[in-house]
Amino acid sequence: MPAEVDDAEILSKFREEKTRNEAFNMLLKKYQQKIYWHIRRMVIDHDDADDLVQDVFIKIWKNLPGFRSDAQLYTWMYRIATNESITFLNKKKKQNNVSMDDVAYDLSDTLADSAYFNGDQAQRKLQEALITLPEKQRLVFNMKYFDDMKYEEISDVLGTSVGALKASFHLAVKKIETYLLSKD
Amino acid sequence: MFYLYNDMKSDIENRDWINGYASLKQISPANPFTVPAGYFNDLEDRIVSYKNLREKYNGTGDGFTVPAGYFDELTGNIEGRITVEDAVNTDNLGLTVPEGYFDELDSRIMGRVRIQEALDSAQPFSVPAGYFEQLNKNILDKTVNLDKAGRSGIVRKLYATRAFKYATAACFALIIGGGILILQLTSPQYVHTHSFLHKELSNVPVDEIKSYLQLNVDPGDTQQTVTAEGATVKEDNLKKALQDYVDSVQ
Repeated sequence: MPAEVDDAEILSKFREEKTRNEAFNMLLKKYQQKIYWHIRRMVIDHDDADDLVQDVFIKIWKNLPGFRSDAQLYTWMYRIATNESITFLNKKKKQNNVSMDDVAYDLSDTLADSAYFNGDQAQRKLQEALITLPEKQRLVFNMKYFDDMKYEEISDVLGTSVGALKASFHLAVKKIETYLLSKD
Repeated sequence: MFYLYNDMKSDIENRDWINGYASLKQISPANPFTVPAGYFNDLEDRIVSYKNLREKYNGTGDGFTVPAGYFDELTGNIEGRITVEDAVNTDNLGLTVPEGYFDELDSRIMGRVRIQEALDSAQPFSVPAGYFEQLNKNILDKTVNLDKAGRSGIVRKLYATRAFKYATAACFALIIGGGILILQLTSPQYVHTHSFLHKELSNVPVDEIKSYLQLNVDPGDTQQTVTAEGATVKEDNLKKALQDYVDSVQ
């Protein structure tokens, strides 16, 4: 398995015009799946995630010249993906003129009808429980539980303090457990 | 809450925290979501293509344009249309129809249709065979083709032209002037002054006329001359008489 390319090398190549495209390809290879799954867990539907992941990388391409190296590259990309996902969900809510509860109901339907979900009953319940959470709380849980990110990294993505993130995660877990027990 | 938070603090950085949540612990941490076969194999190419496309048409959109100020006026135009639509969309604009109008309308229309069909189908008159084919030629033969010189006259109303009016006025002037002239020429004064006798005698000195009259005309003749003033003078006889006199004097 080839070693992952260093972010610094990617950024260095990107700053040179003749190697910019090569750098972008390297970036894609390294992060496309991570970004995709991050989005997918939020929007549930594969086609929606597909549209969003492309939009996100276009934004990354446009804004990478202005990226300051004081932050981690992938947390910066995660932030873009997070904002795009939240924007998408908010837009869905406005288009259908429904409350967030109705959007959660809609996502549950999508999950139930999805051809690209092969989890068992327990995993399906977990996803249903996650859909009931507020968006940011769901993001915290996803990044912590599924991506194994550190709280400092999640703090960079969401712009929330580590302490608040820990509390948010704790609350999310309690809610999920309550949901799972209620469905037994 | 705070106590519980502190207890969890050290566990939360690894996955030991999940031991406190039996129901969550039972759930496999494996990713349950899937993607279409080969999705990630071509995702990179698709993203690159999309990026190149966006770069090529960077902010230029689809090439379509709108007139200057279009969007500035659009809101007002739409609101105006809505206002008009609302006004027009009132119940028939206040217009009404007689009671039962629409109930009878279709039968009335059908009645008219039947009448029209009857009129169209019942054509009692007929014409000789080929009549209309020949009609056009017959008319032309009697009109346009009648004049072989191909005179193409333009019919104008004579009395409507200005020239005719002037001509009419001139004719009247001539008639009146001619009439006056004729009256003058036939007046006794004119006849007398333009007669042969007058012309001849005007050249004769007055003393000679007096002496002639005294010598050759007796008072009786003079009276006859005065009373016969209106009689016509035979010029030939008079000429002969004067000539005889002149010859006798010479």
